[in-house]
Amino acid sequence: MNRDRPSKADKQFFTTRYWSLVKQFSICWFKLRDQRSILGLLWSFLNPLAMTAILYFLFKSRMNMEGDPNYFLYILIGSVAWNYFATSIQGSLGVLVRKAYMMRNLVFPKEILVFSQIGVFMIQHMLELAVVFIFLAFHRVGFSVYLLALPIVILIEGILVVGITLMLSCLCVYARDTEHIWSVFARMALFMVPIFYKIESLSPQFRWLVAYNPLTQIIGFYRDILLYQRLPQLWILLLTSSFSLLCFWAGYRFFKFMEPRMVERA
Amino acid sequence: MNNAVLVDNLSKRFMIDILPLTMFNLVKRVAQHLRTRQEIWALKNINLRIRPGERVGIIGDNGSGKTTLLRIIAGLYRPTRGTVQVCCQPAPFLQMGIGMERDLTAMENIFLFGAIMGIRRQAIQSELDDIIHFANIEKFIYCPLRDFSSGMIQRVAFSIARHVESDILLLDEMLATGDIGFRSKCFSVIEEYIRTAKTIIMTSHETDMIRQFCTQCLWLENGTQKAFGPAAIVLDQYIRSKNISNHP
Repeated sequence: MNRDRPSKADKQFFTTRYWSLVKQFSICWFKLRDQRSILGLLWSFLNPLAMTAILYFLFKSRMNMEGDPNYFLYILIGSVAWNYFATSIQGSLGVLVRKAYMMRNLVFPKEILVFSQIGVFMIQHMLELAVVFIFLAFHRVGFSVYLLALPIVILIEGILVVGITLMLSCLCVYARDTEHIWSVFARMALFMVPIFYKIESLSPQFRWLVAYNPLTQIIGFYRDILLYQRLPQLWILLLTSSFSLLCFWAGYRFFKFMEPRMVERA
Repeated sequence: MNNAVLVDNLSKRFMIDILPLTMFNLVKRVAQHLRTRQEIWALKNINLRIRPGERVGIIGDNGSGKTTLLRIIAGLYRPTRGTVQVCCQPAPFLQMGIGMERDLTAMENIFLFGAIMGIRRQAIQSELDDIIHFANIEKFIYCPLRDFSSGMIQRVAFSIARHVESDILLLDEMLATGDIGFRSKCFSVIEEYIRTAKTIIMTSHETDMIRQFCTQCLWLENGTQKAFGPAAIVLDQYIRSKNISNHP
């Protein structure tokens, strides 16, 4: 077995150990996250609610939404979908740096660290969605059969998140600035997706910026399925998922290219 | 293949940042014509041929390149020059207990570390009693690891790691901590490895242990290969050289 080429052991790893390690890491890290907080798991429910409440009271009258009885749900779904994107990238960027000691001492495909960290946020996303379901029931919006499409939407967003994080986490090994740059970018991007406003309310000058944003579409899918109870437009769904897959492919290739170089630097 | 591990003319260079890469240092570097990186040759022209079933001890002072060599054989670091060929993926036990989480219980950590070491969950489940008994932590199984002493953590890690199946084992200073009772258990595990004709590469500062278990010995000094040959001969050379330098 030559060390320069990807080995057979790598392929074996893929079939036997890979996903069980991802699962184990995700569950353990999720347990660890809330370990020393008094409210613990409850924070997963409180965070999206707090953000929604703030946005709701800030923008209810300003956005002329007082007539819309579902404005609260509109924001809640938007912010839960946004949160999944923003916080999981923010929280997973530095995973290679934080777990550098593992990279240097254990033989395993290093992207497992990224997958597992995002897995933690995936679990949290499920909990946040549970909050959404409670409020949907509370507002008597009800559920439709289109709910079956929700896992696909979650998957599309997840693949996008993984692709971006794979790329950024490599950069973070070389320059920790990546985390700061991303957090500035995320703050800016928050206004480029319709969380508390509707696309129609934008002036045509800016509308394209929001409308052609894949994240806008993903948030739209969530709202279509949960709030408006209709199927997302198929061609937009296909376009967005191919964008996600492209991101993933690029991120994965980049990560695999950087992987052997990173171990010594991290 | 005839060799378990074949190291051919291996050299490893590290680029060490003297000044961290920051804007401030970048300006400083340009202004003062400083070099920000220094190259350090951690290993120079190492040649090893290790046959299946041989046990090689690596000796040398701190910082002589022992762990780096193990990391390269494990495939964690890439050689700068030369090649390393192995017959199968070695199981590296470089730092025992890496990946364990201090805030989880011993029980949770057993499954976590097992997954890290690549042992199937069912296998751990069926060996659970054995692992707990071997580590001698029956009373503390639901305690978080942060309340354990480092020796105890080492014991838990080793009792899981011995279930790893690989034909090449890389052991780095594995007996640094641990009480006498546990040492004898470790020795019995190594003897078991010897019985099943595993290839073992171990680093240690304990020459007696290498004399007891190893057939071959590699002596590294500042990254160069000072000697490689039958354990007894190389160890004698090593000890003699140290005695001379200790009592001039």
